[in-house]
Amino acid sequence: MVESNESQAALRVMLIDDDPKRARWVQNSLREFGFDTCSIVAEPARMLKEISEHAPDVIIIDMESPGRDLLESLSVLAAHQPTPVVMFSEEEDPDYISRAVAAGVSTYLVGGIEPAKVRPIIEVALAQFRNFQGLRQALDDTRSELSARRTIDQAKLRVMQALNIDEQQAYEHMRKEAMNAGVRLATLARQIMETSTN
Amino acid sequence: MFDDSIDEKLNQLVPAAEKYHLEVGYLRLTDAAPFVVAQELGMFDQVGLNVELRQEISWANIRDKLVSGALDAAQMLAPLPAMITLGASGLRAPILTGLVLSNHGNAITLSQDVWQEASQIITQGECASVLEALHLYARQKPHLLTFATVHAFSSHTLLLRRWLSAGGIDPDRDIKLLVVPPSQMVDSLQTGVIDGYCVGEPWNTIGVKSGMGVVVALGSEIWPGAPEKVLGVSASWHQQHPQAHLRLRLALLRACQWLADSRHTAEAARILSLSCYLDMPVDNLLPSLTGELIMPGGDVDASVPDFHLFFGNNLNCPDFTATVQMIEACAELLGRPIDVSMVRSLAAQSCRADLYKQTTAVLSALQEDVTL
Repeated sequence: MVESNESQAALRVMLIDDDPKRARWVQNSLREFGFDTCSIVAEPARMLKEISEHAPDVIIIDMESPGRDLLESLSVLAAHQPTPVVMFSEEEDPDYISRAVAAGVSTYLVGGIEPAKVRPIIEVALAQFRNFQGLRQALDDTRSELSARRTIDQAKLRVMQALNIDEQQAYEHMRKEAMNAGVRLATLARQIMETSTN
Repeated sequence: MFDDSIDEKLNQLVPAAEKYHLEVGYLRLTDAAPFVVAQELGMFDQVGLNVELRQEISWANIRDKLVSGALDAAQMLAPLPAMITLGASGLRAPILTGLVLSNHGNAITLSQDVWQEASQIITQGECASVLEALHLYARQKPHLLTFATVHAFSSHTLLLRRWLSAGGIDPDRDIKLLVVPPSQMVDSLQTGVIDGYCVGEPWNTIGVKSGMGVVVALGSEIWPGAPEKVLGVSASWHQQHPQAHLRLRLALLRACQWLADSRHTAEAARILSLSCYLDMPVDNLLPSLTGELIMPGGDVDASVPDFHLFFGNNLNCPDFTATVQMIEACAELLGRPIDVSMVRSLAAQSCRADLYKQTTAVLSALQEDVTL
């Protein structure tokens, strides 16, 4: 998909992200494709200084960074300076904005650089932000799965003690209750734990 | 509140919404009140909508999410629908408003240091007003005074420029203007990065309460009747969801009406302060909502009942003339004039008084006792 060549490798990429794990992840992926990151900014307060120091050609920023309005203001308020302009290529890629919003990342081109030149960088960044989101979601799912299982075990123990029945019977009892109430077993287990602790 | 027969009456007047579940964006600001109130008091439910409120971190996010369809509608700074339609900061997309949600709500805060200097100049009898003193002080100072707002195309930027110009301070030459995220405003004042700011609430109150800032001027005085926040939607969303849009405007207009009753102010502040909304002490929100802003030694010491205005005098109607004024002021900021016919066309596209009139017609039919 990406051909690394001289002109692309020379592009200066700045990454603005307050999540150091994701920033490293995106940085590594960019490097794999032959793009080096000239700076990673975690705090929006340092953004202006870093931009004037590193003079990036393209800025990739986490959409949830509070610094986006600041970044966009530079094209209006900072005369005589290279100014970041939000990437928006309706003609070539009408879905770009939707894809960027879904991935949670936004791209700015600085100093009139051609969108086509930074296209591969943007594709890598979009993909990596999306993948990172996916990883995090998978981790959250695993966590909630584990905690649900733990709650079910605890609730089972409560039911065994309360009704003086064995584990298999307690499990069957809960399964039936959950079915009758039309809720998931994990939900019923949580309800059991909440009511029995009160 | 609406009575029980409202559903039936409403459904006779307004066709069903094309979409029932809406995601609506707002920022962590006191004047997000109409959204929060409509949610908590069930006004969205009453018009047959299931609204999920999403707190966003920047106006840029609100714009991108409206354009991508991730949000159905959102709170917006009044100049933004026209400026995004123009594409002034890169991304061009037709955005429109059919409802103004508030007027005023802003103030100018100076750092303690600058305020002390200005007061001293006043005490020495060299001038009478803070603005004149600031002018003298700015001339004495070796480097330019730096002011901040939260967005380039905001009422705040326009108010600040208007205020400074009135005092003979050229906003393009005599000061430096920065955009700073609201959450960093007070810090920037403390560390001396900026000398003052013009922002909405609660950031002036927080600046004053922290002892870092002094409020010296009010938006309501600098530009009386200035539209502040509007309900923004993309033009294509409006085309596809005219009835959902109408129902949304009905609910929000009802919330604005509720907010205008001073008996509801304490309750509004309590709801806004909840952890799922602004998540901050009621004390940060009450001063501006009651109009009793803390102004130690400022130009105004009486209470300011019109600090925030949410309803009345037709303020909720998108105003063509005010929109034209805002576009022209933004063009001045951009340093390039926008052709007159372009200004008028932008204002006509983005500012839809006809949609407001449609809303009030339905609302009047629903509540005959109400005067709009």
